[in-house]
Amino acid sequence: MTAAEFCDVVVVGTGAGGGILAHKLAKSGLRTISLEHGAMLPEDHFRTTIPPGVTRDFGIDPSTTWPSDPHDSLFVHPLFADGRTGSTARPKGGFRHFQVLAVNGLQNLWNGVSVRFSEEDFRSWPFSYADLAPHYGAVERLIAVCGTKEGLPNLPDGDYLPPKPLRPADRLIVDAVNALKDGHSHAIPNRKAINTKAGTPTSCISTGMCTSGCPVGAVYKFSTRLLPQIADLPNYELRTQAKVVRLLRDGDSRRIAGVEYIDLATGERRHLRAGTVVLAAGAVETPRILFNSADEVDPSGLGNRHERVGAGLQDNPKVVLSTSLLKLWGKRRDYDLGYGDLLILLSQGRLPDGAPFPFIGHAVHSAPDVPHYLTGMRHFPPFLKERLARTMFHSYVTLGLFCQGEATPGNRVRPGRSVDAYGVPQVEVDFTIPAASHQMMDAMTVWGRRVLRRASATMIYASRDNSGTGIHYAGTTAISEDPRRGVVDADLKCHDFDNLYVCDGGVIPELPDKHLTLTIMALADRLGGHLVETARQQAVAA
Amino acid sequence: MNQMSPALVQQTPGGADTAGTAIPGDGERLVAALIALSPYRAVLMPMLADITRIGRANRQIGAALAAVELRADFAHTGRLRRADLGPERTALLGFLEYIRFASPDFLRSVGEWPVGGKRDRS
Repeated sequence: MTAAEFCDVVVVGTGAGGGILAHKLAKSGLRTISLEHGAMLPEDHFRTTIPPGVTRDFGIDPSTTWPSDPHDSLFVHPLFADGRTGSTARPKGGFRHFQVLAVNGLQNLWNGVSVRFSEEDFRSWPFSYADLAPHYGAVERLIAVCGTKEGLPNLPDGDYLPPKPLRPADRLIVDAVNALKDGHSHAIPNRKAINTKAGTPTSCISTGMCTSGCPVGAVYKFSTRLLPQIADLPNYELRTQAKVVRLLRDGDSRRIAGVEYIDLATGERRHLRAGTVVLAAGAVETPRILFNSADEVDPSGLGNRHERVGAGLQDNPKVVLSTSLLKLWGKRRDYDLGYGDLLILLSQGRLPDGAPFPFIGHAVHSAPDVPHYLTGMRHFPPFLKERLARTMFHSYVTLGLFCQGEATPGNRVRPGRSVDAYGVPQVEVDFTIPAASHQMMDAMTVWGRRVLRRASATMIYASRDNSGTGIHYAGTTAISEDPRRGVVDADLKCHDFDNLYVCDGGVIPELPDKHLTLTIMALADRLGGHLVETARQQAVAA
Repeated sequence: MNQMSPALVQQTPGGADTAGTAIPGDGERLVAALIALSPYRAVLMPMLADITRIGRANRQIGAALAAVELRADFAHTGRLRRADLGPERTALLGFLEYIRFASPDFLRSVGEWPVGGKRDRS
């Protein structure tokens, strides 16, 4: 083991929270080190190695299967970690945990949806929407979000670049939603962290999809936007292939002395001492690190004196409905394909007891180069398939609808019995879909079918899930002023320690319907300011 | 922007060296015999080399081809009948059908080839 080194702040993870935070801290002058389990993907990775669509090997990779569920195609990407190296052993069945072990983390495959939580969504937080609003704005300007101001209370406006123009399929969906005339259903331009400004090296080139990685880096990610601004600073360092094993307590005190990690390039275990440690590794990996840091003082894991670490795991229940719109049959494309999902859908459903609940979604339209539609044509003879496929090629629309998660006593991340390829204990996930989630998915399905039918839907293929495929993991290190109810306080500081913070989806106590990524980034901006101010005060006091 | 044709791409997919199950014998002859059973054989046969390479690199198709080769005793008979496909039939014919509808020929017919990413027509 090498001699320990020291920095002011070590940030574990380079995804949504870790990237924004590292940028802010490094710019402030604090000695900051980012530790990332994975490697840096080559700059041209999504142009040459795994380009989106069919430009290489017809879009077939070693893990492609036949037949397959067309709605499962997002979940077989080769970048997703398997059970040998991931936080969990990924057992068959049950909760599916998706993780990308590379710089940027899941944001390598991020769709870019960037929406703010509403005032109502902060009802169980120790601070309000107004407190976070300036940080939402700062992040929107930093990463470039396209969208439009709509004045909807349930979806606060931000600072936006112009979006790409709607396409015929979008206009059919907008008309169908407006025709509902229910007062709470809306279809508006999507809000995505995509560079829609023309003429820049990272301008969106309209691949029609963002979830397979962007060939030009139009969708925000740390490595292409913020890392270049800090990479050469003398006070910043990014260490890749640095797998954090555990945190090291300073004696028996309330302070963390640093982290122990494995240098995966050499296999060597190293210690890094730090004035402050921030875990931004995700709502499953962060609990894993805390569990694996158990010591004599805290035998159940650090930050876990009230058994709250890992508890409250949530993901957004979702329904996905795909169809071919009859009104678009036989049409050729003469429009900009854009970034796939140009519309956000907002509405509310009702539970059987009459209680309303909000839900959000997006409408996806693209060119189906990868012919998932063949599943729906499997009973047709080949000559008919060819004719139908040509006629229907530009008519496909998919709605993805998401509602709130629910923290239940049984749904949690807990210490596991397996170890990964490096001998580090993994975690296991207990997860049962809550009854209310089933009811919400029922209601969203009814709404989605109504909209699609009004838009001239033909056959509708529907699926639903709440077992990890929302990839919006939250709740496992929840924020609360009460240490018995949460792991971190309003400053994201772990209740049990003076210099340990968490900044990922785990801190979100109640997952609303809305995508959580922008909120994680806004929290990172806020935490960065807090840590810089704390360091300044300590310097003055010294 | 890269607008290469799949037929021209010769690079082995990532992980192919460990992912694919090796097909014993002459893989290309077997795949040619398989393509001959497909209703899309006329457009697939010119892409035989690419289809063989991609099939070998895919875990499911590589294993299915190996199973079918043994079942048909293809190394000795050089013949493949539809009945020889057995339980691998759905996967193998689905694989070929997928390629037909993802092929430059088909995408050109709907005005979407070449692709290569850029689709801004505004």
